[in-house]
Amino acid sequence: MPPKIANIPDEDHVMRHVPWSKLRKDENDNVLGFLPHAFERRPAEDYLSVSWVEYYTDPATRVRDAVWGVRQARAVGGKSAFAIGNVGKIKETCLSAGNAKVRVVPEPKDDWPAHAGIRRLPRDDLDLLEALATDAFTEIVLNETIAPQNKE
Amino acid sequence: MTSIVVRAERTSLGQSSDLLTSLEPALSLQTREIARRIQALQNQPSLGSPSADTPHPSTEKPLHENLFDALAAVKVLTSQVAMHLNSDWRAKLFHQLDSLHDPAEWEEGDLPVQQASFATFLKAMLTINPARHPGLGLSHAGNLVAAWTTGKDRLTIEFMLHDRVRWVLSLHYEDGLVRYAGDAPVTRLAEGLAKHDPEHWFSRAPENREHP
Repeated sequence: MPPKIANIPDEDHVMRHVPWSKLRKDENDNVLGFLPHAFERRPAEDYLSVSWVEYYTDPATRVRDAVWGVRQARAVGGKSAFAIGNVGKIKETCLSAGNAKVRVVPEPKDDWPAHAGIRRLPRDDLDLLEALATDAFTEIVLNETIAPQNKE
Repeated sequence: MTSIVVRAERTSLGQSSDLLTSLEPALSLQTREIARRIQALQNQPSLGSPSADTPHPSTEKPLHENLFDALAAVKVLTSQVAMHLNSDWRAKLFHQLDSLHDPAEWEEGDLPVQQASFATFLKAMLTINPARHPGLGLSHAGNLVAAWTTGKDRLTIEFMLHDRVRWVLSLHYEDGLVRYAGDAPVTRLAEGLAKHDPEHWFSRAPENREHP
């Protein structure tokens, strides 16, 4: 387990679970990416909920492990996906597109130790959310491509 | 990266209606017919009025019942303008709505599609009448979101309550990315998108979707 830290390093990555309703699709429901709304905080949320990928130490399996971590903590729809972004790029994007100086910090939970949060993210700035969807969270992992964990 | 944000000046619906009236002699028959349909939608109190909005899901009902109720409400709304919608697209639209409200994919805490948002969506579709239909999504608050994607270029429109829309588009040029955002009454949507080559998004012919 990584040591306790205040901020997740810029070179690390975070992963956001994106439900089916917030995936960007064409008219035939083919998945093309993420809607800006995939990165919108709810009014009651203090931060945008993500997973810290490098919490899992093995580079060969950490994405799969991070997906398993999310599945253990919450319901994950079969057609949903995961968005992965570099922490430094997320900060840079928020600063340039929304003039927002965000912090990306661990927010561990009992059932989700890799849980993290993007704090100070403006809630309702569609231009910034679009920039996150196109420039910062550049990798998509479809939930259906990650095998179930043995104990599931 | 270049990012340009353009926000349309807010105008009231009354001003928009006045504008339509004053421009009527200059409008084609087809445009006048569309304007009439939109006006008819706006005049129906069941469409888009906040008091008639989809109630927040009952905590006493099972999730699938709440989702079913919201879906039924917007399908009834669609039936009121069905004669103006291509039947193939109507079937596809219903399939998309069903898919968005699949209980197996539902995100806890989200609201199902709101009637007022859906009414705004219908008005927008009747106005811009796109040959190429959008992919659909939902915001946490139950606002319908339409997405058109052409290569790496993206247009996203969120249909809000009170006949308002907000949109953002990302265009990739050789010298970098340009992004525009807008916020306007739905009656101004076509005007807001006109300067960004609507055929790039709405045409089915690939040659029309080249950059201007």
